[in-house]
Amino acid sequence: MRIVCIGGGPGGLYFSILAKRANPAHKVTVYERNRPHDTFGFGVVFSDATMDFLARQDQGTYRDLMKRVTRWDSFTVIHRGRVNSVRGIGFSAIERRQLLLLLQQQARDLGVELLFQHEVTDPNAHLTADLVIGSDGVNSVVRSALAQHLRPHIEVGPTHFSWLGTDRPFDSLTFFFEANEHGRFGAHVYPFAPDRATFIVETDAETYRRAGAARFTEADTTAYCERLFTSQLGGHRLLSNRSQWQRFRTVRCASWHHENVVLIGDAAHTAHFSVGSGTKMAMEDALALSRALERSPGDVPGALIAFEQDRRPRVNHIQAMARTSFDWWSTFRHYVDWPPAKFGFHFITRSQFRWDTLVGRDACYLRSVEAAAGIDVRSRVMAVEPAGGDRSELVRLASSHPLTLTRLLPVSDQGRITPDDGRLDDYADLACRFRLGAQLSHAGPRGACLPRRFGTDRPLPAAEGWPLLAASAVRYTPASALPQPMNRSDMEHVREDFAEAARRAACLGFRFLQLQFGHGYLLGTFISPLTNRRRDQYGGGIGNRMRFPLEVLQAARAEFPGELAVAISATDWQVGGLTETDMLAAARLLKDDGADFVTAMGGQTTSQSKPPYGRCFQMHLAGKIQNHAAVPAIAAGGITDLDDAKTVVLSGRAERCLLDSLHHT
Amino acid sequence: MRIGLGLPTAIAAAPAGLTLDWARLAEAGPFTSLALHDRLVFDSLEAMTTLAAVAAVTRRVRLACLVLIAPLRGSALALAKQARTIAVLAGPGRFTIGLGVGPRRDDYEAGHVLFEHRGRLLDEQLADLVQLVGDGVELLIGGRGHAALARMVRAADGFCHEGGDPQAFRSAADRARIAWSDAGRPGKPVIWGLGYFALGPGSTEVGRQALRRYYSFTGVHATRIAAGLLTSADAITAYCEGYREAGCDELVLFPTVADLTQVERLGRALQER
Repeated sequence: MRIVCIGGGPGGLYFSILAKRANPAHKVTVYERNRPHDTFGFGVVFSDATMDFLARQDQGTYRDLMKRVTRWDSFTVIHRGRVNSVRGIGFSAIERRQLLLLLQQQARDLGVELLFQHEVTDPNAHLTADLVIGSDGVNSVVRSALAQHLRPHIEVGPTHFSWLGTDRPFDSLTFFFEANEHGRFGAHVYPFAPDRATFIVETDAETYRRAGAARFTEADTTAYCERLFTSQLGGHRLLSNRSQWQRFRTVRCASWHHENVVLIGDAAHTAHFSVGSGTKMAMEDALALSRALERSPGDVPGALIAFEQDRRPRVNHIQAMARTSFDWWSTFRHYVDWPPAKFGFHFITRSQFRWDTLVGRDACYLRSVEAAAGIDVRSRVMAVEPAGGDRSELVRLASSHPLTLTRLLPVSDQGRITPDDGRLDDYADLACRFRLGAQLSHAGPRGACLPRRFGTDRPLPAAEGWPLLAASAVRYTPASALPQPMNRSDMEHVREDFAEAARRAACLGFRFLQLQFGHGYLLGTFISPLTNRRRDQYGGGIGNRMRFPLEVLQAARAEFPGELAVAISATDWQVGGLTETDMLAAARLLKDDGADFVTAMGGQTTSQSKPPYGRCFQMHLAGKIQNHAAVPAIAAGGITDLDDAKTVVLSGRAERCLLDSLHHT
Repeated sequence: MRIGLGLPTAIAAAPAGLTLDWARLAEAGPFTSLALHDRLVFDSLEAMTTLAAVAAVTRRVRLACLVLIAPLRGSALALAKQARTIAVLAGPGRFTIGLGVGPRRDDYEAGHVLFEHRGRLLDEQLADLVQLVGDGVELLIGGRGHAALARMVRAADGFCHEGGDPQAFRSAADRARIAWSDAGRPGKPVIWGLGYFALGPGSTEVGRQALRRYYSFTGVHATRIAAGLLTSADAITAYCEGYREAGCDELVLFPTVADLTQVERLGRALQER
C-alpha cells in the first residue's frame, strides 16, 4: 500500500511507524513543513491512564517513552499566596521536541520516508496514494480541502491565552491565579523536565481588552506576564516561542474521513489544553487507525468507517470534559475572590474529579477542604420521598434528614400525572410531626398516564384519561394525547389551584414548598423554547415565557410563609433548548418574585432530551445559578450520597442538594 | 446477586448438540439463568430459536437474550409474537429479553437495514412492544449511550451492561439508577452484568482467542477484553464480589471454550466462594 501522511507531528509520525511495523512492504511518506528540530509548544503531558493504555497496546514505544519522561504525582493550585496541593494525580511529561525526535528516529529506522520543509498546499495532488492521513494539526489543509465532505465546525473560545515556557523548576502540575489593574489571569504550568515547564497564561476577553494585549509583541507579552507573576517565578524567566495571544479553537467534524483520506489528531478534533489530551488523542487515533487497517486488509474505506466508529465515543467524551473545563476558564472571574480553599476545591471539581474520586487519592487534602469550609454538609442535604415507597420509608427519611420533600403532588385532579398520584392531605398527620417540604406540580402534557411502575409517559387508555393543558399544542411523546394551549381562563384556574395548594400546605404544617416548573410539566412548557410556540405575551423571549410561571409563583408565595424553592429544567439537554443566558435570567426573575431558592433540575422537557446521567451530572448548572446569577441554588440530579453532597456544597455550587432517591442495598 | 451461565452459541467449532446438553447440565444448578448474545454476521446460533429449544429442555432456569439487536428483527408485532411464544413455551416468569441497537455496522448491512436508522427503529419498536409482549416478560435495554437510558426509563424493567471490570460496571449501573430515579420511576431498575470465563488446563489461550475473535469489531479494545478473561476460581470470586458490591442483580458468566466440562468447573469455582 502507498500511504501518505500530511503533517509530521506526533500523530502522523506515530501512525507511519505503526503502519510500517504492521507491514514493511507499505511505502509510507510523511510530509512535514518544518525542519526536524523545529518545535512549538514546549512539553507534552500524558496521564497515568494514557501511559497504561500505551503499555498495553505498544510495549516498544511505551518503554522508549518511559526512559525519557519525568513523572509527577500531584496537582497544585496557588491562589492568593495559599497553596492547595492534591496528591495521587499522576502524570508524565516529555519535551515535545524529544518526543518528535524519538518518533522520527523510529520512523527512519523502519524505512518511513520523511520529507521535511515540505509544505503540502494542495492535498489533492496526493490522492493517488492508497491512503492519505491528514495529520496536519488544528489548521489542517487536508480538512479545508475536503470541507464539503467532512463538514468541520470550528468554535472559537471566549478566552485569550499565550503559550510560554519557564526555566523555574516545578515539582507538580501547578495553577496560579493573579489579579492586576486590568483584571484576572490564570497560569497553567505543566513541567516537562526538572527545570523546564510550559507556562500558559489565560484570561477573559474583558481583561485582555483592558490590558491592550492585542497590540503586544512577543517581548511585550513576556515582560507583561513576568511582571504579573513575579512572585511565582522567583526570579526565573518566561521563555517565548511563537507566543502570540490566541483564542482556543475547538474543532469538530461531521465526518473524519472521505474515500481514502482520513483526519487524525488535532486536524479532526481538538479539546481545550486544560484537560491535557491533544497529543494523547492523536496517538490513540494512530493506534486505532492502524488496528482498523490490519483488520480489513484491502478495504481502506471499510477500515476508515470502523476507525471512526471506534474513536467517536472516546473523543466525544474528552471533548465534553474539555468543554466543562474550558467553561470554567472562561468564567473564573466569578470565583477568584473566594477563600483559597473553596476556590481550589471548585477548580479541582470543575470536570474530572469529585469527592468520591479524590478520597482514595488524598484524603488529607479533603479534610483540609472540609475544615476550611466549616460547614456540616449533612445539614444541607434534602431527601425526597421515593416514588413507589410507602409511609414507613418517608418516616425513615424524615427522621434522618433535616428536611424531606414529598413526591410530586398535583394541585388539582387535572394536574395529576397518573390516577395513583397522592394529595397534600395524605400528609396531614406527618407534616406537623416531621420537617417536611411539599412538592407541588401540574402535569400539563405529561398527565393522564399509566402509573410509573409501567414506565414513564405511557398514556392511559383514552376512556380513562382527562384533557391535558400546555403552553402550546405539543405532544410529550408521539403516543401522548394532544394538550390544549392554555387560554386566559385556564391560567386563572391553574394560578388559583397553586395558591390554594400553597395555603393548604402552610396550614398542614409543611416547612418548605417546592414548585415544579421544569421536567416538561405544565409550567415548564412555558419556559422551554422547545415547547412554547405562543405568539402572545406568554411566548417569545425569556421575559414573556416566564410571565405565567411568575404569576403562579407570586400567587403561591403570597400564601406560603416558609421557605420556597422553584425547580426548573435549567437546561433542556437538547439542541435548540434553553440557553445559559435565559437560564440565568429565569433564575433572577424567580428570585425577584420571591423564590428563596432555585433548584437546578434538567432535561425531561421533551421526550427527546438526553441528559448525560452520572454522579453530580448537572451540578454545574446550580453553580452558575448560584454564582453567576447570585440566586441561592439547590443542586439536583445524580447526587447519590454524602460524598456527592460534599462535592456540590463545599465547592460553593449550591446551598443545598436534593438527594437522589436511589438505594443500592 | 444471582449468577447465570452463558450458552456456548457463539464459540467457533462448538459441536452440534452442545448447546442443549449444556442447557440440561446447567438446569441442575447452581445457575439461575441461561443467556446468549445476538449477532447476525458471525458463526453463531440464532438467539430466539435457540431460546425456544432451550425452553423445551429446561424447567427451572430463567432464559435471557442479552441483547437482541431489535432493529434487525422487523416489525414489533413479529418480534413480540416470538417473545410471547418463548415466554409461553418456557412457562410463567422465565423469560428476560434485552433489546439494543448493537454496535456493528456489518450486521445492519447484511440485514439490509440502515445503520443510521437504528435508534429511531428501536424507539418505534419499543413503543409497540411494551403493549404487545404483555406482563411476565422482563424487558431490559442494553447500550452505553444516553438514548439507551432514556429507553429504559420510558418502557423497560432494567438495564443490561455490556461487560467489563467491576469499576466500569459500577459507573454504568449508577447511571442507570440515576436515570431511573430522575424519571420518577418507583423502586430501582433490574441490572444485569456479564463476564467471560475459561477454566482448566490449556483453556486460557483458547478462551482469549475466542474473545479476540468475537470482539475483533471493537478494534484496539479486543486485547483489553481478552485480557479481562476470568481464568481462575479466585478471579471469578473477586469479579462476582465486585459486581455484587456495585449493585448487580444478575451476573451472567459466558463461556469461551466449547466444552461441557466448563459448566462443571464454573459450578465448582462458584461453590468455593
